[in-house]
Amino acid sequence: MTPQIRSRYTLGFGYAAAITAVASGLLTIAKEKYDPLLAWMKSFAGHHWITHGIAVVLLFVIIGLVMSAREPKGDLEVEFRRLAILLIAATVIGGALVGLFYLFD
Amino acid sequence: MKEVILMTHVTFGVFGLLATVWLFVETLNGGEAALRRVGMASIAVALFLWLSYVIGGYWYLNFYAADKALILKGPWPFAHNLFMETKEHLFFVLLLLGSFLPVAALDPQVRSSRAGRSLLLVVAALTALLALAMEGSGGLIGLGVKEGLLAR
Repeated sequence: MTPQIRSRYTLGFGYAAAITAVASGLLTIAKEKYDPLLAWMKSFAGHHWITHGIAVVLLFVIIGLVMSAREPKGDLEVEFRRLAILLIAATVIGGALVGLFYLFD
Repeated sequence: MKEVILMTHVTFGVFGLLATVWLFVETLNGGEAALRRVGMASIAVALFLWLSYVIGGYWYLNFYAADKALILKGPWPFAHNLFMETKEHLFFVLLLLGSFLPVAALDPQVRSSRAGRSLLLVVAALTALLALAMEGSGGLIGLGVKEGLLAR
């Protein structure tokens, strides 16, 4: 199946969700372990959690738009399957990064 | 008033979960009319999850400090240290999946292909599991407050 313009957005924003989910987990650990980053995030928007939310939304939108400009090379069915596996992996990794960090911290 | 805000956050979270299950079932059905409704369900998921996030965030930033102090002084400090901390950060992943759902569900090539429908089922299942985890954590945080009050 040849990808149409809509599917480029599906793939682009799907990959963006996966990348951002892992990045958000890493940012959680980074801000908890590196005080200057936490202080900067607090000062930027009044609370580190608001800055975290802004970063997540910006990252998702920017990566999504950049990756949507990419022309998918392979078969769309294969791309959708690959994206589904990637999203499962990213959700597990993103969740584990946060959950295990607070469990053992 | 702060209880109303908190319960509104929970209610929209439950609506988001129900809409996700609706999307899952319609995708599984696979009929022409069912697949048309998938688009509506995906918009409902994103809308409810964003409303839950914004309202919950407002409550967290303005009212949670007193509850947090109670939890930390009580016998269940893990209700904050583990469950609240994980919940407030894991919610971003839920929001990402919920925001991605309409992008995928409104794509005709996703709805018309087997692999595309599998993608929708996977994202809906992940969203529902995370939403359930959020609801469970919220209940446990509430119990942490109760334990803190009982210990006073």
